[in-house]
Amino acid sequence: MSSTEQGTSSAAPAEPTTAPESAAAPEVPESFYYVHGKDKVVHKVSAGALQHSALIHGMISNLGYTEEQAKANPFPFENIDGDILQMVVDWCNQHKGKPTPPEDTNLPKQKEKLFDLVLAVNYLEIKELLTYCCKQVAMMVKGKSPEEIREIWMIPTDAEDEAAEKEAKKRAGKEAAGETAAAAGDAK
Amino acid sequence: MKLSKFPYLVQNEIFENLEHSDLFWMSLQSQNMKKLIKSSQAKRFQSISGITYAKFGCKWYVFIRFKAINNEPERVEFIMTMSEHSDDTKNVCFRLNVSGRIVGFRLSNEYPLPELYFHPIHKTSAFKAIHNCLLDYFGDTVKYIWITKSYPWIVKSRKQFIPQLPNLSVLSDFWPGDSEVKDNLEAYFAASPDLKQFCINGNALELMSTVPKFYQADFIRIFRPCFRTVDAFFLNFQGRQATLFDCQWGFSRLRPFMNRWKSGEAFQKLEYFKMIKQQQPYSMNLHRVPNVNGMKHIDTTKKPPTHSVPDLYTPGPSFPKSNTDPITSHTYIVRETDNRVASVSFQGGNFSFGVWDKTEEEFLRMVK
Repeated sequence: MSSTEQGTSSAAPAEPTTAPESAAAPEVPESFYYVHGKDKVVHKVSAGALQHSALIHGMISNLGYTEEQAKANPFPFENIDGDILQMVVDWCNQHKGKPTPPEDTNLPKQKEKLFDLVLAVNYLEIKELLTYCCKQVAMMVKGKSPEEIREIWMIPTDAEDEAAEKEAKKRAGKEAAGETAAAAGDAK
Repeated sequence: MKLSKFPYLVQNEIFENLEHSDLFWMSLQSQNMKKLIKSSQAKRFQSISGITYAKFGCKWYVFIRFKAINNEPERVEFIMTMSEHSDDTKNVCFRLNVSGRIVGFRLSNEYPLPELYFHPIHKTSAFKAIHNCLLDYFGDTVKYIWITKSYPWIVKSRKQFIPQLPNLSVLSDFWPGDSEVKDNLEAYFAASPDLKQFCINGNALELMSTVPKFYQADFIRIFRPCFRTVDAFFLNFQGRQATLFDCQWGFSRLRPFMNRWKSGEAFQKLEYFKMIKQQQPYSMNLHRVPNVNGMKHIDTTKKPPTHSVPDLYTPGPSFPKSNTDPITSHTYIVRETDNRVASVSFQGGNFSFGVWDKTEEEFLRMVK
């Protein structure tokens, strides 16, 4: 139901070949939207799959785009790496219209990829996927010694925190001094 | 992967997936981490009822106790173990600053938990550091309990070790057997902090020249109390639950006991009291409740409610918390000061007394 496009559009969804036999309401053709990440690669995703993302669902609700308008206006997510957005799109497609299982074992095992995925999923407000990701992040430190936990999650020591705080204060002081000087210059 | 780069809500969700023990170890990483965990997990901390230190074998176990839900057995979670060694540098895997003191840890061979490793001469300071750290992390609204058990056949000539620490209550099973322990009895009571639970052999109490402060404990069990001990119990007990096992004496004291309870003069906190008779052919064998002024009776054709409260006795971390023995009796008395009811029973010569958190009117509504 989705495809990855290098900046080109795809055909409209295929029409059903046979009419439904029942007298129920006619099937509404599924609408599609387009998203791209930092790498500008456009992904075509069905509205049903995008329902997982509270952010995108909110954006497309009542938008009333035609296929052409949707294609011409892909949603840009410049803060998300292309491969991460691909993972998100794949997950949304896989779980479209299905109840989410209690566990998801297909999440990236690499720390950095998982970290980026968490940030992307949090931004896109995909609650179930965020829950899986957070569980996996937590599992990384289960049963580990305090030193190992510090290493895995790069937790700074008190001394490092103090140094960072001093540095931040120094920087803020410099910026404030710069602003004061600029304001004085403007007044002259 | 920098945890600090995650938004607060994400950090919170990650923490929700961790055990309390993992979070505690993370809190030792830095002051900022401790603050973050404490603020984000404040609601979760509300399910904790206390922190317990208990010695089994040659190790101390530190574990979290959770509030019981729907009368289910109490849940516990181990945080760490502690042990002493003459060479406290051996097998140390890592060192941490705990409450301003650098202490060594190794990985426990029993649980996937860090084990604090200290030289015997540093025992007091090691416990102080850990306790202060736990107190700072879990706060002073949870109970800190020290379980100590002394059996003469296990702990030969060893003094009880109970550190003097703030907010620490003691649950003790104390069976002094050899002369050295007997000599230290009074020192033991004098040194013990807030005693909450106490089990002791009555013979040992006979050796005391003063009335021990353990009568102020919430829960006591005395085994084979002598006449003088039974008298001291009835005069001094101020706690919530008590059982006197293997009693030959004291049944004659039941009438004054009930009269004092009824008038509100004593035993105001009492929830449950039981005297179990000595299993000897010559022991007293009462089968009816001593007559007390104002004793009331429920119609024998009706079914009285059954009294049972959560048992305060805490033998160990894996022992499910149960309730006190049920008391179903047609006989009861009413306290004059607040109209509270106590069910009174003799079953097989044993005396049981269960105080209801109900007025007489509420109590009688439960009769079927």
